[in-house]
Amino acid sequence: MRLNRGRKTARNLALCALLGALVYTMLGFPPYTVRGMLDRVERRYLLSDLEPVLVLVEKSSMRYDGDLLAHHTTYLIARTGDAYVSTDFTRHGLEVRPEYRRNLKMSHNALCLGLNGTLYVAGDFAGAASASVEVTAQRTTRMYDPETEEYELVVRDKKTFSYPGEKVSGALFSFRYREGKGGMASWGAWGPYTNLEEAAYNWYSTYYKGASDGSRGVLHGDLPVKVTLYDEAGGVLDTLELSISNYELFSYP
Amino acid sequence: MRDAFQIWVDAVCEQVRFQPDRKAIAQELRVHYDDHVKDLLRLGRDPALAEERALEAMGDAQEVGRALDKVHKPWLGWLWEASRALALALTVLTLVTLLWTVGLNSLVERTIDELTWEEPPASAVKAELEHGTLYAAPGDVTQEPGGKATAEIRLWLQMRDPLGTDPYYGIKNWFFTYRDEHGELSVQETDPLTRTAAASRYWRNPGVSRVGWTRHSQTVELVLDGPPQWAEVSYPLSGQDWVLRVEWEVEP
Repeated sequence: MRLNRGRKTARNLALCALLGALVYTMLGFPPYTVRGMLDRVERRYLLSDLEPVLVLVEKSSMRYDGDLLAHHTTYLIARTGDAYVSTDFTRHGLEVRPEYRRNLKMSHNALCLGLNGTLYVAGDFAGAASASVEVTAQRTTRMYDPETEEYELVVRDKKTFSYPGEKVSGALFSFRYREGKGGMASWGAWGPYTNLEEAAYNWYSTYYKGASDGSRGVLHGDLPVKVTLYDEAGGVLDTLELSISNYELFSYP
Repeated sequence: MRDAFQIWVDAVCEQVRFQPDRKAIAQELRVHYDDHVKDLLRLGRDPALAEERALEAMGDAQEVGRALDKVHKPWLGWLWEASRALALALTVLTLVTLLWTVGLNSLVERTIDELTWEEPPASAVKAELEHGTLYAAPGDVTQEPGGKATAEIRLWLQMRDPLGTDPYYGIKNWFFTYRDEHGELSVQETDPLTRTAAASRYWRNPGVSRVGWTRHSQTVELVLDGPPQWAEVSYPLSGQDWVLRVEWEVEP
């Protein structure tokens, strides 16, 4: 049967719809909007009514092997009731991968996220006029002895870094801790002038005892974060005790 | 130099707004014209006269052109072209998705898991959530050396729709809380910093899960100091107040 142009068009469009649905299904129903991403988080973690607190989109200049397209990562902080979550979705072409950069974090009442030299703290800050943060880093070294199969942990001096906050909204403060352009510019990061980003990278080490090349890994450590909230008159309203992974605080050199 | 027919054809095609079709229209008209000329030549007409008569029979160029323009509507023409290009692009994209992403594996494995999903037992307790229903039931208990016991809790999640479910993991239970008559269980066996024992009682995911399109199931293991009696699964971190209590039958 010879189809006229109208019928051919209808056939082609039906085929397109079918193929589009097939691709979308094979890609795992990728979310392309913030609402779609939050909806995905709700379903994955059995939550409901998430509302965004922070949305940051970062286009990565990094290309993995064989990648033609850039990665666009959307970092999110959202809340539902007193629960806060932070997560990320990375889009590569049509694919959208959840938690590609970091695992989802969930906490009660408040949550902090380190990203590109800024510490974001989310919570119910409607009554707070200003805030400051103190992050404490401690030199921590873990040595693994392959002969005894034991780990030895050595902790040394601490240093507390303080930063003033900027109120972004009634639910978010940001604290800029990166000095200059960041990116681990200084490698003399062991002295008293070490900044937080360098401390997060250089002060947490794991070694393999007897390794001929002395290679060092960056140990995962949780740094205590103390947030102090102030009212209009400068009086202390409240303090929050949180923690943050050192991996969130530095960018790879 | 253009012959008389070519001038006529050009005048016809100028009336057709959908330009991509003009070449095909010209070819079609040329075939009709040539056939007519051949017929007249077979009847013994002079070639010049045959061409003249055949051209006259083709009709008024403006009129024919307007009629053809009605048939070759530009919007339909462009829509057809677009639909062809889109169908081709989507065919390529489908093949790329099949070959270079998790597409095919995901389709097959999730479909198998969906179809082979075991219904939760009638005794399973359940919590109605916004996006689906979560079921829990006691599983096997294994006695470990030193008096410890491993007790399984089986979880099922029936989602209302397939959108947004995880193609790699089923129930994201990392933030659930598990507690028994002795209190809350630790989430991990070893301290991540020191790699030494962090807790004697903890829960873990043995990695056995089924991830369908809307139906997921998973087993969680509680490592306890002794035989289990009951355990509660809850999700206080999320602010939700549901509690699923599973009970194991205690041997007399």
